[in-house]
Amino acid sequence: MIRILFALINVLIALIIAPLFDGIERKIKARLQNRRGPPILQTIYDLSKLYKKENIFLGSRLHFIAPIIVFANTLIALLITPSFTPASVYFIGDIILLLYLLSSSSLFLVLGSISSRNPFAITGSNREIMLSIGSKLLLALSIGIILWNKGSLLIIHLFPLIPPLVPSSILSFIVFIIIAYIESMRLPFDIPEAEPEIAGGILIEYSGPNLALILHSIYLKRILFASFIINFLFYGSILSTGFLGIIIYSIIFLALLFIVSIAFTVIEVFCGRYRIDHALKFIKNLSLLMGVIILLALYGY
Amino acid sequence: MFEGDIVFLPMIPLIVASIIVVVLRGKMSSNYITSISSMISCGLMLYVSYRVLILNRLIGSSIWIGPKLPGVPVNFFRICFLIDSLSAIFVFILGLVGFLASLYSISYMSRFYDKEHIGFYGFNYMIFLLSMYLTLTTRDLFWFIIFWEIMTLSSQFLVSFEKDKKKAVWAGYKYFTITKAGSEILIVGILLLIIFYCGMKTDFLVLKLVAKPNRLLNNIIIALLFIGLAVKASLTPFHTWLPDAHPEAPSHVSALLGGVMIKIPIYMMFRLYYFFFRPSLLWGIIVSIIGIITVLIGAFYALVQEDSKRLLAYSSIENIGIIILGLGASLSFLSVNSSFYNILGALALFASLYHVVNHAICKSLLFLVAGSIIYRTGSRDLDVLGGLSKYMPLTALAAIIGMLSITGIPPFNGFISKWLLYSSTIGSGTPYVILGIILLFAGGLTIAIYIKFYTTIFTRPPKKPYTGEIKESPPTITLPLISLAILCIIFGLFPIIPWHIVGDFIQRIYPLRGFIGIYPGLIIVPTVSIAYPLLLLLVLVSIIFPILFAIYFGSGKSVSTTWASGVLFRSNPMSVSSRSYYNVFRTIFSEIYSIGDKLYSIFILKTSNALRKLFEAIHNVIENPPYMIILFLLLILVYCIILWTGWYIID
Repeated sequence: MIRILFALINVLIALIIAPLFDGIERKIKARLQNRRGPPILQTIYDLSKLYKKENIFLGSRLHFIAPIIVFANTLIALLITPSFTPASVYFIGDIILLLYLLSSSSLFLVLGSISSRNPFAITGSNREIMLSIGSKLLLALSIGIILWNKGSLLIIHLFPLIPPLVPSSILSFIVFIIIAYIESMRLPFDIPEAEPEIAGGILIEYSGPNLALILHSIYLKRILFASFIINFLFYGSILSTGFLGIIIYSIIFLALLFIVSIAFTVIEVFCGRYRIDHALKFIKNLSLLMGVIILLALYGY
Repeated sequence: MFEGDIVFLPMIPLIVASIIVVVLRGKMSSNYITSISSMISCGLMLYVSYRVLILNRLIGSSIWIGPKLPGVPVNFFRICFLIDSLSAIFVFILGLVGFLASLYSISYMSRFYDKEHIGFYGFNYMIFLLSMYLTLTTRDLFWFIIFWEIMTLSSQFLVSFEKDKKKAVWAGYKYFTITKAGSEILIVGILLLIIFYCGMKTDFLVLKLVAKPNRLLNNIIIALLFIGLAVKASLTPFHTWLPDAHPEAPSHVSALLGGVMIKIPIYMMFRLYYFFFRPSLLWGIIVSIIGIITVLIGAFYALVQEDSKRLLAYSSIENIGIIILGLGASLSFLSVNSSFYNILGALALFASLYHVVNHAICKSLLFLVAGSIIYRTGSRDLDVLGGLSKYMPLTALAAIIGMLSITGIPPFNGFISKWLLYSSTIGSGTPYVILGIILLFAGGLTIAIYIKFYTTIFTRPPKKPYTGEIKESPPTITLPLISLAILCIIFGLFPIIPWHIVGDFIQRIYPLRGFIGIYPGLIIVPTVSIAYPLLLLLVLVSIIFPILFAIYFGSGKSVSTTWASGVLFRSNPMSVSSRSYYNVFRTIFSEIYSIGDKLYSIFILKTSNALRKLFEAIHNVIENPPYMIILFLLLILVYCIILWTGWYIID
């Protein structure tokens, strides 16, 4: 039961921390561009205001319900991922459930968005689905190879990366970092949203609590991927026995999360947006590289 | 009546009604007779499979259709039937899909009353159902091939049912020729079995027991039988007939073709690999590689289709690939002498059979959805359709449930079978991991395919407004849709039900029951300590959480419409066409499409050209009288040799 409690604590912390990190990132971005930037808590203010607003029903039930399902999927994904505390709900094959939850959230995001019948939303959704196929390919390849080297189907057995010191795992991990970047809808890859180009794309017809749910789940997804990166590097290497140990663990984890977030933000500032075909070509080339990594893994390296 | 004789029960209504339909001239009456007698017969099939699967009875019987003559093999005139735990799975899906498809046909066929000959349809439809049932239940390889040919013939008439459409006739022709060529290969394989191993005792039970010492010959026979079955199951190099044939039939027939008929070769493959021969690593690898190629080709091509039923047909190819991959993985893992791999193999077998049942339900549901759209709008062109969820809410609901289950979104049934397959491949730590990874990627493609299917038909505004008034289809059409959709949810939430259906067969191959835990919404291998409450929590969160949120946020809402620069959204000429969905993806990944096209040109066009040249040469020879005489003498010589050497063993 303790484990479930800790897994729930993970989710609860993530719910608050995720928008906070977005606020910090906005501040850093502004600083790098020589602007003053909004206060750090701005994203939390935004979300809480959006949650309080009235929902608008556009005549399509799917459009109305989709954000809730997206949010729920992201929360379950967080429940089975160890993050702030090294505990999660786990069972054999949970990694596959995680991948399908992520697919499911992008599926419902797209379905809901197209149901609004807005041409911009349709364009954005089309891009989102192509990008998500591509990143799903890379995600499957990289996670699959790490799984292969680790010989387990459990998320917690994936971490840490190193004990079998094989080049294919390390290369896959590098690819995984790139995917974490793509999946978190940051600048060269925020093609489905593309504020200046298609006015928010998939988000265009959402407002109020529904918009807040989608934004919140995007922030949560960022935390999810970032905690995967940190777990790959440091899981189990920090002392985490006893109540104090867990608290220390959480604090160190937060610090590491902060570093990952800063690194991603700095990259984001220096990037322009990709066109969708460029992004897909990038993914395709990366997947050809993954082919080489598969060969390495096949020969036991 | 003996218990075994209930195997004949489902045949009686079909045989009687098909004779009545031929004699009767009326359109409506023959349609009603067809539907009702098919429904009765399919209900009886369900009862038969219930007796085998749940009550654990073996049902078998035989019937003499001619005199017992001395010197003539017994099985020329005696047909033996047996329903065991394997064939009962397939009889179950045939009964289920057949029942709902026949119910659906009552109003669906009224479209054709003044165009086509309903009696002709009714006869072929019932013979098609009957031949599928006979193919599944016969115990004799000799009769299997005969029923198999009848099945091809009758379904070909159903494919080219709309005689005025050139496309339909061409599709039927293509379907018949390619699958007929496949069954010739099958016949050669069966002949080799007869000549070298079993004589005319082609009973399954005899085939299982007879010793097969020659390994090379075994592999040749397996290869021939596998290719013959693969053509009908539309595995990759031979898949090209399916996307032409399945869409052209009336929709409920498409549901039967895509949901049940392409599973019948799969049934025979299970028999071939598990009963006739021992599971071997070599064949496991070959079968699974063919499976994964089929998955990729099916998924990539389904992505770019512009016709709703054609898209579903390509998706059938993909799912057949998944089933075959499960079969291949189970063969490889079960042939190794290690209990860890054997458990994985049994899991893959479970996944494969579970997916057979799931795919039968989802795919027939989706074909019936496409049919419901055709019934009201008369179109299956994804560019013409659009915005129908408002007018046909029940169909849209069924479509979305079918879509979620076939893409494998967690609480639905597709997830469990795919999850089992991923666990057995990716969890194995062998090169099968790569196949599992490719399958995961194909899962992503499937989501894209069905987003296209759903959004183009139901949500995106149509290019031109519809001419007539569009409303929900009649209850005989929506009832099968809703019941299949409910089955999708039940089979996903309670995997114990599919386990009762497919479990007996798996227990015969490997005692898996002790190694898995079946929970609501999940099947797992409890090798790590796993607490039941954890799973319950997961299921509760996934189900209850969205509902609570929906109630909470559903309270204060105001209604508005999408703003579209002052244009009404009933139709929109600027709406995204189905061609431009994933257009970029197609150009970036064009290599895969060119490989697919090349496969078609090599395996179908070049082979058929070569065969045509061969037969032209033979034709030239035959027209020459001296050659004719020599050939005739040669044939007699061969016959004499066969008789002398005693290859032809009579009973």
